[in-house]
Amino acid sequence: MDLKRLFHVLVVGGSVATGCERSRTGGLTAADAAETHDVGMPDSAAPDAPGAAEDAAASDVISMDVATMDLVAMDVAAMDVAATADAAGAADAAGAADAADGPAGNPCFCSPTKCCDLHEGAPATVQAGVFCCWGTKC
Amino acid sequence: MLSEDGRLVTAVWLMRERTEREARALFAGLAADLGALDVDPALRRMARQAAADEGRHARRCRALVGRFSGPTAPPAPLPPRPFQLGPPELPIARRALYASVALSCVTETLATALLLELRRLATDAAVRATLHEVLRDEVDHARLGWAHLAAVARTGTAGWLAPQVPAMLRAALGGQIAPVDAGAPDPDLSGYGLLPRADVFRVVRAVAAEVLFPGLERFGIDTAEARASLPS
Repeated sequence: MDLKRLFHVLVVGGSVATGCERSRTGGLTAADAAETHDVGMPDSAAPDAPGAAEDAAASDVISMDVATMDLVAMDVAAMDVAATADAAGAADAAGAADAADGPAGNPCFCSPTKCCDLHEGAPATVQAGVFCCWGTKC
Repeated sequence: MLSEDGRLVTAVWLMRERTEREARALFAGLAADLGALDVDPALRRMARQAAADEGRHARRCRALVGRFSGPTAPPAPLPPRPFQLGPPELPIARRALYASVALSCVTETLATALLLELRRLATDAAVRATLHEVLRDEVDHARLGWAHLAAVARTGTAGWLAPQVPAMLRAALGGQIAPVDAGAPDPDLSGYGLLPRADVFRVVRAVAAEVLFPGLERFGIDTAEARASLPS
């Protein structure tokens, strides 16, 4: 298990989550996405002060307002129905996800409600430079 | 599945079903508290979504119980006690932060790591699908706590939580250990979603050291007491 990645996904990703929404963003920054060599290192070059990472994240963002967040939630609900209806299919997806946890250095920030570009009338897509790991998808 | 192992598997998924229902109630309470506070509305949305997710997780766990033990009675209602975490005298803002840290930062962060390990080892297709679905949501549930903690740390202090973390850890661990005596045989049922106790502790120690404690310290919560409280 890549614990550095887990730190970055949960702690760093979580700490910027609301800041991103407040500034009409749906994902982490390109700078975050490019931070592939030392992501999640508590003692790395990541800012020490609380909020510093959030401030950095606010600099280069992709917009997602409340309405679009709701659209994502609907997508998630639809995914849930599909997953429940077809456990075998979901198991296959889970198996595929194991193999698709992403390259070791690849940023892995995605959750069903983050890191996605939303398109009117078309399925959401993963933001450039971000990898949906652990079975998450837009 | 009628063997002793089957009974243990059933008991664990029953325990998880109950834990998920309790988590649903706790996240709903957190959402209500957050609604009464001047906090980012996104936090409240995340808590409401987490409550809904946990209800769905409980149904998935119940389905596995039925798969392993045959038709089962509907789940017993939760006891009529307030689902509220932390010392009762805490003002609402601190109570909400306590709940966020206990539920999300501690419990859901450990759960995410354990689910990653469980999903890797699961061989039963239905178990694997359930673990996959739960894992997908737990990532967001953990992030709720880190988001709340980061927001508080930006304008105030969360250091008062330091003495509370050992109890949070104990509570989180209690929900992850199969309900068997410590000296009882500890069969490897990882194919059905149960890690041996030794593996649970191994994962918890690693995640606490590399993710949980550095995360808490990042936001001003001293973890010396919590580190000392972890089982060796």
